[in-house]
Amino acid sequence: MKFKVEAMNLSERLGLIQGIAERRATMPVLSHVLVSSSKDKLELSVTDLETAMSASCGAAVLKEGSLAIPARKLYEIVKELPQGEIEFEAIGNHWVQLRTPSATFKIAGLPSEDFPAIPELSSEHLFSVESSVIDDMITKTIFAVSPDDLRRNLAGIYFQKTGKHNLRLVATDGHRLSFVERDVKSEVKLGRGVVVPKKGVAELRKIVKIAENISIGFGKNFFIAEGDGTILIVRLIDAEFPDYNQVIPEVTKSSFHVKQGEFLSALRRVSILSSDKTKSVKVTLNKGEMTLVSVSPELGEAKEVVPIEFTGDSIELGFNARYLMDVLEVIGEETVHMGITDELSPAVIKPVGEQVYISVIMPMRV
Amino acid sequence: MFFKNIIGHEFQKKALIRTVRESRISHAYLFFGPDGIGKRLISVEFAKILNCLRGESITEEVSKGERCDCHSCKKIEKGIHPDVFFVEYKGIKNIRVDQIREEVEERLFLTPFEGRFKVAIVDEAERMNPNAQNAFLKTLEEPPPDSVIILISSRPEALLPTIRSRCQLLEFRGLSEEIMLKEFRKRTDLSPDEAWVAVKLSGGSLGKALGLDKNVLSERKEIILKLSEINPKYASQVLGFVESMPTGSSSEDLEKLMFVFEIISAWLRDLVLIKIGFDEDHLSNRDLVSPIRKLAEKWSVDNILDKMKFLENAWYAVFRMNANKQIVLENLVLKIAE
Ligand SMILES: [Zn+2]
Repeated sequence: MKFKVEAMNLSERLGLIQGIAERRATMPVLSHVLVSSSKDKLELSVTDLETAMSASCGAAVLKEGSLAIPARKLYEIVKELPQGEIEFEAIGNHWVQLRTPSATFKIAGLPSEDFPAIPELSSEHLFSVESSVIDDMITKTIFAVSPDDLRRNLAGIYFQKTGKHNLRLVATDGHRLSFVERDVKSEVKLGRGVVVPKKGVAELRKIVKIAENISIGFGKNFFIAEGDGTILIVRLIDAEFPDYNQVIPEVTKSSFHVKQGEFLSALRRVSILSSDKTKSVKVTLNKGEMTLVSVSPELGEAKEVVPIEFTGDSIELGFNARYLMDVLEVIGEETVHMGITDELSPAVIKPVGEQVYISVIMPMRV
Repeated sequence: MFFKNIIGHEFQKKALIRTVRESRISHAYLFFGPDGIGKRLISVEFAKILNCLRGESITEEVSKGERCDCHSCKKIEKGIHPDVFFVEYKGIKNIRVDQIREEVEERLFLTPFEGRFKVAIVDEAERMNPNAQNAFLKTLEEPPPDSVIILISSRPEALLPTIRSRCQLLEFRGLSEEIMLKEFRKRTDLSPDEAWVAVKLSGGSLGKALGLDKNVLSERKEIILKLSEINPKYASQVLGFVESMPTGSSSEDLEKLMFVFEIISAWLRDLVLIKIGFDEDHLSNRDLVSPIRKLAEKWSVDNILDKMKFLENAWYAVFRMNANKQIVLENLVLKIAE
């Protein structure tokens, strides 16, 4: 392996991906970046076995080859080097030598065969989506992902194809559920639904930030996203997502419209006085108004009235205020529809308007 | 090509190959039987078969040809395959719940990284404490797809019955002495008599036989002859013998001392066998028949059994209780010589 590369290019690419390389590596090779030179470019790959990232950058390749190099060490050296070309050369025994006009570094690496095989997906399995669209879909669902280690099948966002161009994302922790669907304009290439782990979704948001459009695709075991030459690979959760449709009530006994901003800020103020653990708030509906009350034995009582369009029978319900706020913060619509049945049945919140976004929240005892 | 370097266990190998060939791969296996006879080696080979890049057809040619050198098999051999992981707790008495969660569950619940199956090999599974076993039971009840868990244990009775009942059981027995002797002689250039001693001292484990200290093994004859001739009235003889034993000051030296204990134990057992009328073929020290017969005439069975008991206590004192080795060894040699 021998090539010349611009320090800045390399440093920028390494900076994007090296965070994934494990510090406390269970396998030594996982703290390394796989550097492969072929034709006229470099391929850089890192993985922690849950996710993997690859980036490529142009280079003058003098000799093709590959080697695993300690990621952090390499990044720290390259980042401090002055602008200009660095020459890399494998000097035997898995050592690599870096040379600039004024400096030489020798770093011990590991054989490339020791590096986990990074899965690939041919371009025909990829489809393009607007970064802002996928980012918005993630924002609208990720908060509902279960943090519970014991419910592995809920520990990620469920991706499902619901029409030729329609992609749906669903997340639930058993107490609440959020689902969003968008027309992504290109053909969705996804067979059966898959669960992408939360950590992988968080990495996806990094890709979304660097490119206006990204390509995504699904292999048997992987989710792959590609944007501006950077590729993210995420291992899927090996479990079935539950049949979530039965959780979503088709109709609710009564419903009302409320201004998102008024509802959210009232909740914020009232919940300051609710206990930290449950964040419970009592919601009372009467004709034309909604009263929010929270009581804390130490701090006292908070009460606020929000005007709503409501004509049904009076009713009193309890909610985790955090759950309501999570939805209202991301709903992206001025007027919100809320449907309720009774103090034991799930409530539904959705935007009034075109977008397909539904949040289901179980009431709680107050 | 698989199982090539594993001797014996023909039935078990065939059974495992059959499960792959007939696509009846179980989510959980329990390999049980004495320590050191190849259960772990077989589990590694099984993991290779499950993930070999040469595909399912490899099972057809399992027993011929060279060892497979595809990337997957090589990585498993080196212990760096992302989907094959070992849970080992050498020296730890209790495997705790959080260790099982971190090292098994969290690595099984994602889809395979580069292989077809995720394989978790839990060595000394009986070391899981009851809570850990219960946590593990949950994984066994709802095993993630594409995963195979292999529990290895020499004491399967220490596992919860509910765990055992969820595993496909595969029992392993020690190798027969004939097979051991043949294989051992192929791999070493020891004399037939010395090879035989090594086999006798290794209880069916070829690995153990090959790992025995060759220097100590070659001194065996001398050790026994010297010990046979010590006159307990002469302190210098007793002290002289103790001085010639390994001091046990380093861990390597401690291993040697342990080996000397085993040699003495086998020799005392030979004496008992001769006393109660066994054929010479049953002895460990076949090259020392006449000095053994001579001593057997002098000592009673009870006397020898007493010495064996004393040796056992001395073993505990030295290797488990950290007693003063010099004093324990002097008393031991005195007792044996009397
Ligand atoms: Zn292979």
